[in-house]
Amino acid sequence: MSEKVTQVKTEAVQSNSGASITVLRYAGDITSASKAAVLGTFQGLPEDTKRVLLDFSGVDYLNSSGIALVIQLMIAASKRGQSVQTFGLKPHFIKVFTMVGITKYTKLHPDEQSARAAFSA
Amino acid sequence: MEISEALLAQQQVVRLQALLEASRQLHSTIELEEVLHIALQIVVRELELDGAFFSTFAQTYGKVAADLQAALSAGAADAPDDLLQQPVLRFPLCDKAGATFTELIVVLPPDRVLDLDETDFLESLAVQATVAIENARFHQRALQWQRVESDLAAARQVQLSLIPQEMPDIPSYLLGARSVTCYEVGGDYLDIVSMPSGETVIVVADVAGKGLASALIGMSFRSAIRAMVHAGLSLVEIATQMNLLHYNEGEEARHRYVTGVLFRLDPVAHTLEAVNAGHTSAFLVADDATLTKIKASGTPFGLLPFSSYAPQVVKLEPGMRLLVYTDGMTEVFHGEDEFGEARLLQWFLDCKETSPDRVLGSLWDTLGTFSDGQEQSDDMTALVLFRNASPRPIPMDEPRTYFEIQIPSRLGSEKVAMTTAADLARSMGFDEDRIEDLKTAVAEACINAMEHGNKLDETLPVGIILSTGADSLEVRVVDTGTGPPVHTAAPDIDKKMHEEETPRGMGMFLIESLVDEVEWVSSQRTGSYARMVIRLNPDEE
Repeated sequence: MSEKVTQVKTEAVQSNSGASITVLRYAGDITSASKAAVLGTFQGLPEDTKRVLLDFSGVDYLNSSGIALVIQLMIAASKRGQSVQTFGLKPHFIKVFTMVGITKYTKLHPDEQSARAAFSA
Repeated sequence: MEISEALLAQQQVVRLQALLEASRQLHSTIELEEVLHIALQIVVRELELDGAFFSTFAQTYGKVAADLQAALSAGAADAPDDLLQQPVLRFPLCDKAGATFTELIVVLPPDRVLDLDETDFLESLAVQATVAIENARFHQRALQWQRVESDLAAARQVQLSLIPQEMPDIPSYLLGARSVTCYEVGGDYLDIVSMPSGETVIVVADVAGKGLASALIGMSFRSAIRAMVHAGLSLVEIATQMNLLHYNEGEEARHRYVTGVLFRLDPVAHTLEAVNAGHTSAFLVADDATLTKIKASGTPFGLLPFSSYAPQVVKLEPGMRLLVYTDGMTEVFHGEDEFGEARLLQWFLDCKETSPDRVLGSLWDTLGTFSDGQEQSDDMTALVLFRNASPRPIPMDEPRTYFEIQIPSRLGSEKVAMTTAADLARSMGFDEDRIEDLKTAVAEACINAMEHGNKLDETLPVGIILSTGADSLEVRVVDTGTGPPVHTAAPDIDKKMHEEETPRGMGMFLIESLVDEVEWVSSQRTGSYARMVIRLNPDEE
């Protein structure tokens, strides 16, 4: 039972108001081995990216080292003035994110539709 | 008169030129056969002689009668008169110490007498030939030494390849060994044989003396002992047979008798059987520092035609540590002061290292410091065996069932522990939310154990002991470190987002938040562990 490699797919979508949103769709495990997939992919986004949507619906296992990478991503987004919304976390990980306090800096939405809508709000 | 002097001077110049040319030719090669040939050829051709040879070499030039050469060869007395039909002259060639190592013998035509210049020429040529021959012989010796060195290097590779390259994976045990020879090859012998029964036979032995001769004996010893181990003989039978076999190898083998200690480890019954044949005592230290010495019960192999050996069987408890070594480990000197057995034992009792490899590293460092970098004077071999620490279950009123697994300190393998704990919790009737909590807590405890306790050394295991009671599941995650990681407070997300706090360091917080009870226990002897409990009905506690 080895670690599953983190997969990430970048996608451009539009919010209800027509604003451009970059979606990072993660799948597999997010652990200390996921630095390139989580941070590397984010850092490769164009500088003018304004809205970033994190899709965790394909993530099976996420540990404290993985959460640390998500925090680092949010620090980088904050420095660039980017807005980050999140959806797709399994209920247990919503609980863990809430315990750690990440919800203060990104809202954890139940689905993609509400997450996209949050950008236009 | 003037014409005659001019001719003489001219002759001298020509001779001098010839000598220079002879010198150039003699030094143009470092092959001995060529040097001898050139020297003899110059002598015969330049002075128009019949022949020439050197008293200690077979090569001749020109006409040299075989019986004359034999008669004048090195060691022979002066030739009988009947052989000396022709005049001969002898020019000694002396080495740097002044000893004659050969003679240049020239055979003159009948009635030929050499003048002073010609004799001077031959004497000078003999001096030049001396240097050239010595250089050529030095070159020959260098080539021979190169071959010997190459043979020794190959022998060293063979010997190194026969030392166990990897330690066997023995459940609940850790093994480490190190062997360093004093010369290219050595007389220490170390072997570990895994038996189909699951037992492991370990041999540490030392052939009297050191270097190539001892290494050869060691190789023969290895073959014999391996054959006997695989034949299923008991350790006492092996020792008795080895003694007889080695003694009967003859006088040379008897001079190079072998001290050795044989072990048979049963990792299921946790017993260690030992037979010590005249070898240094091995130290077995229990968790509470109680010492058992594995002492010699018989004479070294091959010293006497008969010897009786007695097995020593010890029970290996969790946390026990064994050190086996050859005398090269105690015969390390600081001036006249020997490191000795007492110092080695005290060092082992005090040693807090948590894996055999670390123990061996520390031992070599300690001996290096003691000897102040003095050159190693004997082969040095040591082997360390640990029985893994298992925290003893806390006595409880209710009966509990125990399960134990081990995972390597490789990130990702914590998922095995997670899944095992989850399956057990599910079978006990925990709901899926609690099982998810348990999985995260177990994963974080395993990651802590790997990263902080075992420093991500993949050879060090993390033990997971699960015990089930009527309404609780306890999980202990054990590492080989000496204490829990620094306890961190609850993560402060504001500080993390403002980079005033590391984004990591949330593992212990999550564990404490997700299980009903957690305890961090540190033990230098038995390793450290995290004990976590989840209950079916937490509100009742």
